[in-house]
Amino acid sequence: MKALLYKDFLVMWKQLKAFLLMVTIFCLLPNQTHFMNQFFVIYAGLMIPISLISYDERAAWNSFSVMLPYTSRDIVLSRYVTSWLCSLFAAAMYAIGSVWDTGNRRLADLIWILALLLLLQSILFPFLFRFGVEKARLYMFFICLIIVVLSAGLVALGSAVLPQKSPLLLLGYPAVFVLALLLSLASVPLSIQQHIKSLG
Amino acid sequence: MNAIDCRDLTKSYQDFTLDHITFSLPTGCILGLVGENGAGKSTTLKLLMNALSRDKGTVSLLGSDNKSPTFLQTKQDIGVVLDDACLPEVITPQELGKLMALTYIHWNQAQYEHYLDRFAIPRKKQFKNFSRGMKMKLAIAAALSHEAKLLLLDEATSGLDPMIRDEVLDVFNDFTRDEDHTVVFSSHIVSDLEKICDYIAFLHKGKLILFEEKDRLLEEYALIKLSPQQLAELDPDALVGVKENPYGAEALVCRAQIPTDFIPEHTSLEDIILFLAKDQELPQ
Repeated sequence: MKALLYKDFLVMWKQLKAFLLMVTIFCLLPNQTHFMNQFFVIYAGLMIPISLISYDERAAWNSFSVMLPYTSRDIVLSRYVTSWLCSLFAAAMYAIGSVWDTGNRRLADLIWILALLLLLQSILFPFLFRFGVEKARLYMFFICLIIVVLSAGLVALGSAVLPQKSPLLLLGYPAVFVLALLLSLASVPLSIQQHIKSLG
Repeated sequence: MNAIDCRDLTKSYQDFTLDHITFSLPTGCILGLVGENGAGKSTTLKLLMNALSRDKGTVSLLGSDNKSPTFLQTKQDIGVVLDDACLPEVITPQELGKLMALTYIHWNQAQYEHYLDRFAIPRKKQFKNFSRGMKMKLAIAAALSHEAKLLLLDEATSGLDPMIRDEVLDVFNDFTRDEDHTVVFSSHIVSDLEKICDYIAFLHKGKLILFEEKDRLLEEYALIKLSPQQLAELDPDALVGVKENPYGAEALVCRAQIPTDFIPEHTSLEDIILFLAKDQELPQ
């Protein structure tokens, strides 16, 4: 798996340098609504791994990697690890940004965004491993739309029903994060299964 | 010992079936897998590596069943080169060396450097900026640098100019000087196969039409030119295939079954394959 991670980071550094820079800047920049910062955390954790899969498909690396001494588990897990590391990187930038963007950013928001990101990854990745980026594009659009709308709805509902500093609301964020993390871990074997199926 | 044992290998798609492929390849030999585009050569290689799930059959490479958990270890001893080399676009030969060192336990960096020098491959140029010849040579250098015992090459010389092809064929020949080394080489350039192969497998529309030692094929079959009268007199059992023209006919025959007064033309492997393929097209 080390080899696959090395390959991913090499490709990321060379082909996605501009994206990484953009993510860093927009996660660090002070922002009135901090929506932009949150968007770029999600962008880093979702779009960078999807771009990596897409580059692999274009180079036909997938056909070659299955011939090499890697298991489907190595191939899938390395992609998850890359995605988690990208998410953590963007989250770290977001957290660093809060040093000078005081008042706007809250740790709870970051936890919520990471949970949303893990949820999106855990649902989208099995589709990506089964169908590839090109064919999974349609599923991706609808899944993202449904999850973002649902999560926004949940946040709005929580804010309307519960008082701002309700302990239930404060406990809710970590609980959702743990749930999303568990879902993300559970989606790894599902993606491995889909990867094996995709080989035909 | 056989490097490859393939029994009854079958894979069906909606519009194509690789049909009960059975062959054994002794260690130390070069097998040429020949067939038209879409004959099933790449599918066969993928099935050999278990990169595709088969419908039926068994495959054993270097004594290891390709469905067994130990096959991952066996893959360490197998070098693969695919048609388009299939490497990440931005990788340089130097970085490919590091990637392969993390992939293969027996990665031999000195050997890799030797091949980079031999093929005059620049170390810091990105893969996407290489010509097709350079790409294939880089993939071959990587496949030859991890102490592989078996090389699987899918159209590794197609699209290369004759000079580079010759150079690459020399490398494969050198590789099999060690009697533990085996090569499976798929191509539709029959002249390449004729130069280096010990065995020829001819796939046609998913069926293995023949699997034979090359020298035996060349001994067994002969091309002759005949007048219509000679053609009529020839034993039908001796006739493998015939191309008739207004002046007579050209026929592929079994050498042993033709009268001694017939003088065979120079017969190449390509002639034999073309006649056999044509024979398969005729209604039975």
